[in-house]
Amino acid sequence: MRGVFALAVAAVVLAGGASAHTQLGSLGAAASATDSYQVTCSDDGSGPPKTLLLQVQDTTSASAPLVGVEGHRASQNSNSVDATSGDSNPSPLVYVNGGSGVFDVLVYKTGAGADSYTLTYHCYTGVNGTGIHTGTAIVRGQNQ
Amino acid sequence: MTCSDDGSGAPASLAVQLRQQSPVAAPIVSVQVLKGGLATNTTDPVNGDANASPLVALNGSSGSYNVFVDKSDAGTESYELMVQCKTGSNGSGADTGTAISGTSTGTPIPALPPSVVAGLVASLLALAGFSAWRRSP
Repeated sequence: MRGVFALAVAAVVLAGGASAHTQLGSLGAAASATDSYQVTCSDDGSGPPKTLLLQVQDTTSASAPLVGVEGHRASQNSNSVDATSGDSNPSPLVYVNGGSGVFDVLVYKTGAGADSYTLTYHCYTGVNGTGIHTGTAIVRGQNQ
Repeated sequence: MTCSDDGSGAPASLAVQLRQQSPVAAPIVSVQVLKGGLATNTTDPVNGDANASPLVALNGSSGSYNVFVDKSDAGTESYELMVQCKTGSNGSGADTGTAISGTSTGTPIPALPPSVVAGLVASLLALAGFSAWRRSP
């Protein structure tokens, strides 16, 4: 229950405009179009990171394919899909307990058709999305 | 996934395809492939029918690929994943050395029999009971 509450708090924080860690992107028409990023979690003085929080919002019309995000570090993976294209609600918030270092993050879609998205990413000091925000940086890899 | 030269030639790409299996449930299942910042994905849009997702390939040459299978919503799903390293780009050429190992499934994937590659049947969320089979080239 405590974990659920902490995750809910984190969701409120994210929704509350931590916009410095959002990434706008788009996926081309090919069904296989995939964007890749590397997110680095580090201690910015707030504490060593334990987890990466991820969320994606499909910002294209309702007729577009669904957009998902997959996070990965070492043997830890998680994913989240925005169930409705074009509305104001993002996908469920998910986390990858990968500690500090570089996480691979993929944004993909479920079918053919161009799509746009907003990716939200934050490193936190506690496992399962708990704790406080800490050092977070992103580098784009593949852009399709 | 590891692509290597098994005597058939140096690998140039990894081809993957996915087919959802019973139970027929709401989530749809996707597979993503990542190597060195290059990535691709494919989704089986219809749950439980005989058709697999489109075949996609990642031109990552030899070495280790990360392959992720995930789904779009809550609920247990089963799937069949087909993977094959190829000597040509975009999934062309001949089959070559292909090996698979599991990480976050919680259950090691059994060693594959000595014929050529590869699919595996698994379930998501329940994440139990991997088994493996191979497809003749």
